[in-house]
Amino acid sequence: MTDKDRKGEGKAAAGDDFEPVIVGFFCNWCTASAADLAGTSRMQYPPNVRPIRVMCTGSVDTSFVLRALLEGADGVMVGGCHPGDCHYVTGNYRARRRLTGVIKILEALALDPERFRFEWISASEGAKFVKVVTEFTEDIKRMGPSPLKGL
Amino acid sequence: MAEERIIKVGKGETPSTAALAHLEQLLTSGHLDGLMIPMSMGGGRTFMHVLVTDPDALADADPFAPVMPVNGGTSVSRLTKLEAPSGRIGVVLRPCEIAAAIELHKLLQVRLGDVVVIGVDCPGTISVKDHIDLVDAGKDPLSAVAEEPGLLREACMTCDWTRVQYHDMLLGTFGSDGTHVIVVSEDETLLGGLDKAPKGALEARESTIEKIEDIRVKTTEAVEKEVDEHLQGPEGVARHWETCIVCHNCMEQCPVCYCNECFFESQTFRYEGDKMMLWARNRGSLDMPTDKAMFHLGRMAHMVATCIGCGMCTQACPVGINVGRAFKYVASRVQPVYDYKAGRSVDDPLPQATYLEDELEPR
Repeated sequence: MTDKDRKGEGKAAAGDDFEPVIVGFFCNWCTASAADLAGTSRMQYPPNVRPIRVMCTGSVDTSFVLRALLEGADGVMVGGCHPGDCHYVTGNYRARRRLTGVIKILEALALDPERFRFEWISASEGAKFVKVVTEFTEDIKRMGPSPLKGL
Repeated sequence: MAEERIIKVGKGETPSTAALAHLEQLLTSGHLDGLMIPMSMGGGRTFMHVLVTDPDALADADPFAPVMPVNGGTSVSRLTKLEAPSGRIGVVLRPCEIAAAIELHKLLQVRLGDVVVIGVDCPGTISVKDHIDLVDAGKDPLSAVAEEPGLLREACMTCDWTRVQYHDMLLGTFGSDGTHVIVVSEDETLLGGLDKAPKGALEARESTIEKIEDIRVKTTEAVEKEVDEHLQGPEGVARHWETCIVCHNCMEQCPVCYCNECFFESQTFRYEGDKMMLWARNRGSLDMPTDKAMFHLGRMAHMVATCIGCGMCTQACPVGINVGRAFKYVASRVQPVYDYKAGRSVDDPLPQATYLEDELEPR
């Protein structure tokens, strides 16, 4: 993406023409595959998510989420394996502990906690992936561009 | 079973000198091989921990000095992390220093069991700068605080640690009016033939603790109200840290920020000039040095679950940002989620090091 392309992105005011930038951290073993499944099944969903495949939600450092929000994402989404299904046994439980901390920080300082979403989406749940991404994109569109950009 | 004894403060003595005489005797008799204790620096301008082995070197020490330039938890970590010293080393710590040591113990940076923790009742400390200014102006810091309690650091006025939460030996001064020091320990060798503490003295200490706790809770509520009003939303957060020079000193002085290689000091935050130009163009301008909010919020995300609220960050800030106020406010909202209170107990597992299958969201 060129400098020029980026410039307009996410900058428009809230409204129909506002296309949010959403950064998604997706577990390799579930949500990333769910996204694949949604694609190969020809399901339609908004193209606003910029997926980053990680080996486990347990590898998503809390600062990654904050960094994304401060550097221009209008929303951040983390998708991992359902409880009990983690490929590394406990990664998703640990991720839940850490990421809950981020949510609480955002809540405490009134930094738009709704811009962060954490979901369990298994590899077979292509439909759930579509539903979550669609809903989240709608929510962010309603909220408008993130005020956290460039903080 | 903990024994409660008493040191009487004689004529010409202060609680400090009386308690010091007891500690000196423990050193002389060989019950302690070393003592890490606050020592006068620059003729009483400030007090810092010194590791003493020679009883004669204790003359300028003061276990109750009302100033904390460095959180003692950091010093205990330096003393014990690589390998705890052989022998019995007594470390004189106030409750927030013990809290830091407890967290660092769980983070494997302190071996708490290998030192003798001598906890002291702490009515609060003055910032190093204020302490030095008072002494330089020819004033006695203790009487200055008695006259003007607002001189205490905010972290002390909102302290959660009125009651010493962990110790091998306690030196209690609350409720004594300077007439005695209560000594509590399970270890007879540390009590050195002291008389049993009268019930009245113990009750007076207890009721004083309750009174101080009450005042501190009320002050905390008042401070939290200010945060509710001023430190909220992107603008509030930006305003709070606006004057930050990104020196990272708050992190350097934070006792529980122990990482040798801090993520925020890493090459991750060094960029090519064109990258910065890109950001500058996108936003219209780019603050230099970069990543001010990222540093503070990121550091918060990394350690706020272990923040013990000692306020060393605020004291260390060269531009006077009340860093600790924000961290303590957030900590008191993050830690309860894990049913955790940093610094409370060595038995509570670190929130990040454990989990339950059925907890939090999503389930």
